[in-house]
Amino acid sequence: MEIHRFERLWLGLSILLVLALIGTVTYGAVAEGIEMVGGDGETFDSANLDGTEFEEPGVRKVGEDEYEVYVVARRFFFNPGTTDPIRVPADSTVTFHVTSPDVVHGFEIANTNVNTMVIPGQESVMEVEFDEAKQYGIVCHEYCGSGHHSMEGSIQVVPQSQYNVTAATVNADAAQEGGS
Amino acid sequence: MWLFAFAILLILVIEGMTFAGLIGGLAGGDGDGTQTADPTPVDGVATGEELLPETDRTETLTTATLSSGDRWTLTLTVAVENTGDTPYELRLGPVTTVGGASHDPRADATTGSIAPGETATVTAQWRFPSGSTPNFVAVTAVEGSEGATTTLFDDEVAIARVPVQG
Amino acid sequence: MSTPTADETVSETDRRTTVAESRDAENRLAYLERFPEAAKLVRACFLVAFGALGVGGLFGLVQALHRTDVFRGFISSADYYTVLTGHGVLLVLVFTTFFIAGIFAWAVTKSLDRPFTNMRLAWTWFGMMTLGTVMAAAAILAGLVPSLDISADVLFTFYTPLQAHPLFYVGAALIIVGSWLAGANYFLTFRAWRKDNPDERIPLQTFMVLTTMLMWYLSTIGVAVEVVVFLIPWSLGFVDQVDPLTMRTLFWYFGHPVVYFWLLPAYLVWYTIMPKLAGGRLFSDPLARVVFVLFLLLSTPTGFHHQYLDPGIPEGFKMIAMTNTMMLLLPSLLTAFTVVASIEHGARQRGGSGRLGWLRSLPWENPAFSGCALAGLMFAAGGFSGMINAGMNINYLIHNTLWVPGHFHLTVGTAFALTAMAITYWLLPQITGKRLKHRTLAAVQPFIWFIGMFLMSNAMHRAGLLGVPRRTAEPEYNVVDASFSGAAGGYGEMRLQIAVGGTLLFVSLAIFVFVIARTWLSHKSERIDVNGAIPEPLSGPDHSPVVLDNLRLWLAIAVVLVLLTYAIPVVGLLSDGVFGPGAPAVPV
Repeated sequence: MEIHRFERLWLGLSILLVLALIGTVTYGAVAEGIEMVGGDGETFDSANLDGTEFEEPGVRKVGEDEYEVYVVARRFFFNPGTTDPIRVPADSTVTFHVTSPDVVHGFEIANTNVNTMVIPGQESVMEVEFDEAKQYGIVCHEYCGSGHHSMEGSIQVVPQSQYNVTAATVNADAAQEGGS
Repeated sequence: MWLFAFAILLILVIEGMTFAGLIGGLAGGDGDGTQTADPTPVDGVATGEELLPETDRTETLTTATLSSGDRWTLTLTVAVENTGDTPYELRLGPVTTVGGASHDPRADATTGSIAPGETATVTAQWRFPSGSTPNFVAVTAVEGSEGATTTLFDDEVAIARVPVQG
Repeated sequence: MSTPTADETVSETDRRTTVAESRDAENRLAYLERFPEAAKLVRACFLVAFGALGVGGLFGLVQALHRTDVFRGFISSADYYTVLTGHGVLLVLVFTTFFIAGIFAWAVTKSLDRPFTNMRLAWTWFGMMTLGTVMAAAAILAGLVPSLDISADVLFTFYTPLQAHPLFYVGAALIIVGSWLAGANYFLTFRAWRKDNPDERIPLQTFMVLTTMLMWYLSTIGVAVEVVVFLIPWSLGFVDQVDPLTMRTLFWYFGHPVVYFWLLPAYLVWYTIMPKLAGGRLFSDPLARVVFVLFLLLSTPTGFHHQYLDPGIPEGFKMIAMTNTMMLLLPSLLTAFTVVASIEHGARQRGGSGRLGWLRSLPWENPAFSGCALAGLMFAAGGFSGMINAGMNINYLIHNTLWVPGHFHLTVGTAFALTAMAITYWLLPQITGKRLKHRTLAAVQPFIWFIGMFLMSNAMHRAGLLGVPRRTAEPEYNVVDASFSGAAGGYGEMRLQIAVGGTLLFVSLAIFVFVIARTWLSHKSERIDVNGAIPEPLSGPDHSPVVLDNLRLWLAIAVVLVLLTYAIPVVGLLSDGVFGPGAPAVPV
């Protein structure tokens, strides 16, 4: 089969492009340590979260500068996140655990790469490093029903000195009880 | 033919601007390339804020909740302190949702006449189809006693987006 | 006999390359006279396709104005999702499938030069697909009528546990199964031709149709199983719960190759018809065959790249899907080369010269050509944004943001839709016997589409980078609003761009529907002025290895690749219960 000289050149450049793209992703995975969501979450009966870690959503301190946040996404709010912001200190590593008892939702910290699908019965786990004090918004980006566009939350990354672990957890409990 | 040239020119201009903007954002931003900033004040009255800043009395929106379900229920509570020297009454009227639909409150919503120096609250509920976002609430503020009243305010007030709860 | 005027579609080359006056006359009325039954079928398919395009396009305008807060008075925000479902289903399930069925019917009968072996079968599948369309559309539109307790506000992807009315799922299943029968028509006709021509190479257009349909059969297994085995019984109440992750996986097994089902017919047009419109010939037949074989092999084992951020699917499988996806770039890049080379050849035949000057010698006033060329150009941009989507960890930045619709409006929304509209200007006269009306309007239409789509898609990409979500009726938030500002003009300017772009697209669509309707409803002409003849390629099929025509071999390899990519994950998903972990249904 006859392949024109220019075509061979073009094919070569195309293959280089493909390799470069795969290389970029590999760099992100290996050098930067960016992991994909998946694999390391639990599965459970979505309709009944009692007996799982999600029974009491909120922020927990698990080590020096290490926190875990259990978030339940449901129609149409995040718990914690919506009525009370999720509060973590700056310079910490936070592992988010997100699930849903009803339908598929999205959980994205807008304008960052913290982004995951939230699927009933599955647990999304993401380890995030928060460096500076800032306020972020959380968006649900997967259609979940007529109130989808109202679904939002916020995360407050506060300076270490201002952070109070007990206050953060207490707020989350209050939110779970459905109060104002 | 000129359409074609125009199209290509338009592309070059807008893509160029986009590229310049993105590079500028990266270079002049807060260093990590993101555009996140601390939030600017939101449009509309949020909880804890004054409902009618233009009147001399204090009317604070103490709670705003939105419960979902087949139909959504908005509950607003306003705490009014009559800091003036004549009786004062605050009434809440229809809520307008995004798109323009108007919904009356489930029952009459008024503080009743508040004597000078006293405080009172008014709570009202509105129901509308799921997915509707409350935009404005009609507010009427009246001062004076029976028979000799002046309307201080009778207009729509924008309310900030209310988070949805269970 | 009228003399062609300056703005007619007959090119100089057409008149130079036709051999004899009698052959010329034969070509001018060729298709309609030679294959009246097939022409009737193609017309029927196009009628449904354009009907769906019109309604779906109108919905798109309503959405663009609502989302950007330019005008929210047409529908409530809850109904936005009903309209969005209609937009998705009517455009990418109905318009696409019917148009493709029509153009494939034309391509097979024309290139094999024989009618369908079984017209009864043809009208059966047409009826089935139309019935399915009516059912699904009724279920969706009933969502706008509160008094009817029927709705299907589930969007084109119908993720569970959101649950639509059974009518919706049955309708969708009928459309898919109908398309399988359409494929049977093409294969049966090919088999009859093969009996009469045992040693010939498969004509290129038929080769493209057959490879596309083989890919379609392989890929629709996923969604057919999802809908027929799970969702129809579930929506009727025979099954209590389904596993949302398994359903998503079955959908996206289909959801990626379906975009190639839309793209390959556009490639068929660009490879086999566009060179002729440009005044030239296809650069290379063998390379076209290689491209289509690569799509048959690689289209399906890539579905996980739509599930990069799904919990429950291990990273390894996502990585495999990524490398397959990146390799799938190659046939498209090859296509870019071949198509540009072919039209350059055409331009030089028409007298063009210079490094880039030949571009001006192309027939830009011919909407069939300009639409295809603009579609191809826009597809290149769409391909680049697709490369970003495919980057596994890069995907974190744009998943489910407005970037994604920005991407696919360039690909299916332009590469497919604009090519379809453009080639209709060329094909409609041949299947109806009526001359194209309102040529100036037609000539302008692709450019308006191009400008509108460029504005809208550019803004969508930028907004997506800021994190603005897709599939959202009112993308305004309390805390997040602040971060939506900044970057080249601000969010308000982006919204305006989307609204303006969307409006221009609707105007362009309205022009297309108007021109086609007027042409279709006009009187038959004695002679149409479109020449349906397609010249031989510069490098013909005899230069390509015979193994390329061995469809069985390629199908077998494709199946193996699919098993390698999907067998382990699917077994894993089913091993903790076929229906579990389940979730209660949420009717919408």
